[in-house]
Amino acid sequence: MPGYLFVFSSGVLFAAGLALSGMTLPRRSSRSAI
Amino acid sequence: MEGFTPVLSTIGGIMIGLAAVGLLYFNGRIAGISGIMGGVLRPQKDDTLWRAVFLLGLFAGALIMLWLHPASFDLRIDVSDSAVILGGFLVGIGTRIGNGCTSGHGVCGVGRLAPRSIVASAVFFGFAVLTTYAVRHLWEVF
Repeated sequence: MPGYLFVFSSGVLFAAGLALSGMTLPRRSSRSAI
Repeated sequence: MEGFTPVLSTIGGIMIGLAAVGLLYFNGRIAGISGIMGGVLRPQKDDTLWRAVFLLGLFAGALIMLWLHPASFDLRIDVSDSAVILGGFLVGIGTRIGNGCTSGHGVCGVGRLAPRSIVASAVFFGFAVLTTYAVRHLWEVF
């Protein structure tokens, strides 16, 4: 189970990073590319 | 420049990089979202659970950020719903043909200096620029 916990955490970290980095995109049609 | 937030972007990029490197180093998996999603839609024995767990983590991460930093989701889409659906459909086809998307090729593959990922990323980012220029400035669709 520790392996799955790490996989889950990676997903959380990935999405959180995506949300923060998406802030750079223009407001008018912001869509993350990933 | 509108919405230019270099500090948050750098932090976000580092977080994406850490997630991708961690998944590869500790679990031997590539954090390619389209491929992970594709594997869930076409499940194979002993290769589905980790994918579902990762996707759950993505949803959880989005919910956490919605709570902690709602400004990240302050998006306004100017195009029609049908255009968004068509775009998503084309991205889905493209990622299957190219065997990866911006996360698998762009983040993981380029980070590993994989030639095919560098080529794939150059092609889809290049065509994204051309498409955007065409629909906004040449054809003025959006």
